[in-house]
Amino acid sequence: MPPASVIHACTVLAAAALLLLLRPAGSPRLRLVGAVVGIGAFTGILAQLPTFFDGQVMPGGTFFLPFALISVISAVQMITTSRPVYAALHFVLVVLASSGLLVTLGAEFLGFAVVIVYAGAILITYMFVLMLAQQAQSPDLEDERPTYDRFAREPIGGAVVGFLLLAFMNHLIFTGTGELTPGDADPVPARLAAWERVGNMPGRVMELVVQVPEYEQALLPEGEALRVVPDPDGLAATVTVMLNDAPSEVRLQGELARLAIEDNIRGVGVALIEAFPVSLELAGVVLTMAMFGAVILARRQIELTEDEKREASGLPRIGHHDDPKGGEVTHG
Amino acid sequence: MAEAVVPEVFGQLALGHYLILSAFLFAIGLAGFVTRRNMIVMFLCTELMFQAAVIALAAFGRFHLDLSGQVMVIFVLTIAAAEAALALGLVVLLFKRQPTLDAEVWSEMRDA
Repeated sequence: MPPASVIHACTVLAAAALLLLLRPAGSPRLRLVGAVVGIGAFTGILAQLPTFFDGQVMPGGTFFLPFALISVISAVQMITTSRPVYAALHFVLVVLASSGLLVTLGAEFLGFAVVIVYAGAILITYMFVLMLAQQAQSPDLEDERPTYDRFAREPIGGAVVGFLLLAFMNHLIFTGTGELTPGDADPVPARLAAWERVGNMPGRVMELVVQVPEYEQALLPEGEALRVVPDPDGLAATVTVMLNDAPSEVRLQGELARLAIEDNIRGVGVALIEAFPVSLELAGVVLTMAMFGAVILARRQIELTEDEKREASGLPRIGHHDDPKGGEVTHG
Repeated sequence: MAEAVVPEVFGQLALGHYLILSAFLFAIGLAGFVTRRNMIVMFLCTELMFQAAVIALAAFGRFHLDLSGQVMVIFVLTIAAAEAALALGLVVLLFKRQPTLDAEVWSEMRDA
């Protein structure tokens, strides 16, 4: 474990760098100093890690640092730029970089889903509202932009709050994650779980079975469930299928189990349905309520007069008089 | 070849690398939420914090070889989409009452 003072010093440096970058901005040279110090502090904290975490190798390797730097730099630019549209575009960069990280983490489906949902849908909505709200005023001169974009509110407070939280999280990460056991330390439970997951999908099992030589014509056993019996070490499994009208046992080797584990989209889909069915329904309810809420919030508020309300509900209009209480009903 | 370009220390990654990146993004998002006065940029900062959570969840999921982490990310995406729709609806509503995006205009909300 590196001395805590080094980590906290890096955190303080990062906070100071953010403070230099936040508006009201100083000279360009000061901002450059802030950027260099911030990047240095970030990589400094990262560089403290591998010296004491052995045997916890995560994928990514060479690709981690570029993606991490892109996302952190664009995040800082996003909160320091004075143009809201540029902030949104920098957020798109953050999303793209983190989707690259998701792909290196083996979460390919999420990598694409994040780009489609965030960069494609959510950011477009933000852009629409930005353009609605800033009707054709995008002055190139710094001083002509609205003051609420040019000046930060409580820059010191914001940096202190954000980086106190960061210091606490760094402390937890540096003291806590070394004790965790990675999933691939004991791969047997993961392989058995993968076989069980595949076993719940007869069609998928049959896809694997017909890849075995001589079992290209195998069929599902009629009337009874397809049973996948994995070996205790999870490297292979035995499945009973129908071949030439007779039950026959076929061995599925470990390579197929690996395929079953690594099929990310199928795995995520099955885990979603299998483990969180109620949450899935709730997510649907939340989305529906959000849609109703957004429509009700953003709809045009039309003030109907008494006459129009009566007309809409099929009642006769009330004639106009100076005294509204003494209005006579006029049929017509 | 590629290993030689990047310093040796970053050749091998631990879970902590991803968590530190996630913590940085979250802290930047929080600082941005406090310091920015433009309502839309404030909501963008909450999206940045969601993105930090996404990275942490995916890293933990890969670390434990458990797909639940990725399923959680799908729910985070759902909540982020719902939040964006409601937040932008609110911004449009507020903008109709006072044509500015400055959040401090709304610091006193009595019978507006």
